Amino acid sequence: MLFNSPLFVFGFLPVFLATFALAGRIAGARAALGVLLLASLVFYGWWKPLLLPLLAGSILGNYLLADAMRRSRRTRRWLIFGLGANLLLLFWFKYAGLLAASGAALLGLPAPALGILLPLGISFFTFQQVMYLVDTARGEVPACGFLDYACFVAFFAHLIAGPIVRPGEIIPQFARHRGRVRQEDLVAGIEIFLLGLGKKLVLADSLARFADPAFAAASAGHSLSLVEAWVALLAYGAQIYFDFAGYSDMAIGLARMIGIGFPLNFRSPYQARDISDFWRRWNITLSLFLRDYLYIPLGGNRRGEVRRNLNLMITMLLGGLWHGAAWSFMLWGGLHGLYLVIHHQWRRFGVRLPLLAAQGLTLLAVLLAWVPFRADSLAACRIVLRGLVGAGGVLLPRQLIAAIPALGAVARPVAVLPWLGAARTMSVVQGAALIALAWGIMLLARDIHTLGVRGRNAALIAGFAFTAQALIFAPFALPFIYFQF
Amino acid sequence: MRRLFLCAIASLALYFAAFALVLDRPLSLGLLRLEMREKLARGAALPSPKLVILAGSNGPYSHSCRVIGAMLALPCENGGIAVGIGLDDLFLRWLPLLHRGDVVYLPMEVQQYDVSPAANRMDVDGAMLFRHDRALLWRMKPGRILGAAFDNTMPDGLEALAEMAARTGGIGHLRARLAREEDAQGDEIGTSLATADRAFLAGLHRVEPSARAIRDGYGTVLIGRFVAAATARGVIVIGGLPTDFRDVRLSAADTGAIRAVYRLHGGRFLELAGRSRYPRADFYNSEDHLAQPCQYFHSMLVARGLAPLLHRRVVAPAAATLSLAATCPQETLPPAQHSVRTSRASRRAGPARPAG
Repeated sequence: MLFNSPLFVFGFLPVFLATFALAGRIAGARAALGVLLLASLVFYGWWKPLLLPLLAGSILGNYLLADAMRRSRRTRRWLIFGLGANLLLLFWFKYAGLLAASGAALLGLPAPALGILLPLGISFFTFQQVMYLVDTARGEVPACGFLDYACFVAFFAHLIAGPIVRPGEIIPQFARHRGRVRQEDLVAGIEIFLLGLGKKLVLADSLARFADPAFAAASAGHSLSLVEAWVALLAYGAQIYFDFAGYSDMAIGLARMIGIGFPLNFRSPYQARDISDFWRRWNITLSLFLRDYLYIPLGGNRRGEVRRNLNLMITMLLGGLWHGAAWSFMLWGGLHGLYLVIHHQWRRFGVRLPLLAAQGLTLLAVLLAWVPFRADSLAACRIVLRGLVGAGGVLLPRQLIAAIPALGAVARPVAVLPWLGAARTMSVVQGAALIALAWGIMLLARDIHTLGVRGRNAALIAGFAFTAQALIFAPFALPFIYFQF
Repeated sequence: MRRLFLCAIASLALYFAAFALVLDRPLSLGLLRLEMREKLARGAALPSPKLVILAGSNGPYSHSCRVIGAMLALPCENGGIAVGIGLDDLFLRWLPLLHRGDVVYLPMEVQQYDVSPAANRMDVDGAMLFRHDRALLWRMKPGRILGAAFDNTMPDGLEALAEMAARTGGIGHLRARLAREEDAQGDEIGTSLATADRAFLAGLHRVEPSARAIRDGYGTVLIGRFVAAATARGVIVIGGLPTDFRDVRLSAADTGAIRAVYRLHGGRFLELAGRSRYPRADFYNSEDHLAQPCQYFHSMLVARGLAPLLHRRVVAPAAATLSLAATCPQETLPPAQHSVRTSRASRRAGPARPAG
């Protein structure tokens, strides 16, 4: 079930809220949390009921492990066993296919069909539980009841694509929850949810229509012209932000509706002044997870310059691989690792670029790294990069050049740009206007969480009708990009 | 909660007011409106019996009224515009202009049959209807009215701003552009083989909907209703297959499903030997768009196919038509030797024979 589907918005959500509030009023907080857990299992099972036992087994197994860890003196052994079991499960479902295909390719054999179905959200619920085990071993999480723990892992608001929440922040909220839906929480939650829904449906899904055709063409081996490649890249850079930030806002809003506070996941990341700053603003909860549960345990910056750079590369490579079982994700992670290493070396010289130049350079680096992230293969990645430097030619629709003859000096006229939007002459205009608006919002506007009432009113008035239009009348709902991870 | 509610109401009010009264897309939708208006005006002015070709852009690109009309000695208007124009809209505008003895040929694109009600509600003409033709819109179903009211996306709004600015700046002479692209009978012109986009055509790949999807499609319902309504008025309705690439598979079951849409509602059906499929080299810029020499070539075959269904004699095509059609790459046989298979509503239904 998708947050951006009419079934969820008009069916699942109101039924859940009503049942939760009713259960809380009649039978108390534990009953309300029981409703929350049941609703979350229904939400998860909607896609493939067969995978429910996997989720349930993972939750129960990890809860028992943590319990055993608390009772035992051999905490470290239990932790290693728990981490091994969780990572093995993740590895089997997510990476066995990649490893088998890569091994077969090295041996010159055809890729074996393992037929492994990737369970939705496995990366997220595995990481949540790894955090819980580690924090339990560190003594940072107090013991909790099974229902609180199960709600912490399975709560539908963050089960599929995060945000990755800290056990120490969330479990106590469930433990002290009174099973009531307060009006101010409900209103604040609905508002954040609506604004997130707008980011997804109005901006991200519109931008997808300008990103997808060119990347699909590159996957099929077609050359891209300069305009097609840049429109696709700028559209994708904006799409992935609005898609994921929209999802995160919806998750935060859903949790807020029942009085649970989730952490922020985005803070205007494209306004970052350097690449370290970018990672403090982009997918904040994953960044913090990678920092606290991988980079720092590896030694962080405590063992010298060389070791820090190595730790950065390892962290970012694994962070890339976490996104998907493909070498292109490793390349994306590796590029960001390299950017971070370069950034740290640069800082040693003490030279500071002017703010705009620093922002521009950071943005360009982040955008170029999106190419391998989005492209289906390294060959497609090469085609997009060739397009970006103009190796595929500079083409524009004939009618556009006829309307603005000066364009003829730099571009060759063609009937249409086949891989730009709907391949109409006006697709260029529509794409340019949409990209200008999207990047204007990302670079100049404040994040919705820092807006005052007036700002949020303006955002709602500007976006609500378009959101309703897309939710109710669009023939289909596009899934969130991060659902595949 | 009251604040959220008021914001939502204000947003909806602004949206409706903007797209009903202010925002317009004078260049893109304006061209479609002008094209529609001119075709309807010419169609209304033709004496009966007349021939009208209705489809999406397959109509004007791949069929020539100039050729077919001349060969059948019928005044002809090529009424097709684009697939995005809702079938209910198209039929509602044309039906009052059709009289007893008139002939309508429908080489509808296959994807028009399996269009869903949701897609029909959101067809691009909804924006035109809501902005300019609300009187016609009120005659449609409530779902279509609601769909038209919510037809505009945010990118549409941005495009409207850009188009209105361009129009104010004197960019885009619609009448001149339409005159360059279409002749006085609504046929697409100037689509030469030399300017065809070969690389783009080579990359196109379309999977036609299944026979079941065709049978169950909402487009099929709309077409069936039109065939029945027009036939009841004494109009001769003949279905046909759209042009497409030869390598795009269209099974006998698919053809049978399309044929049934017409025959079950009192219409007739024309199936050309090659199921209107041609090599990619014959096309201009899309699967549905033949280049002009091949448009002529195909039209000559259609005219020969329609003649027996209409009990009309075929007039030999003009020398200019023949010479242009002869430059179509498909042309390996004289058009007279291309076989044509026809079926009529009165004949007993039977399985389709592989043609050609």
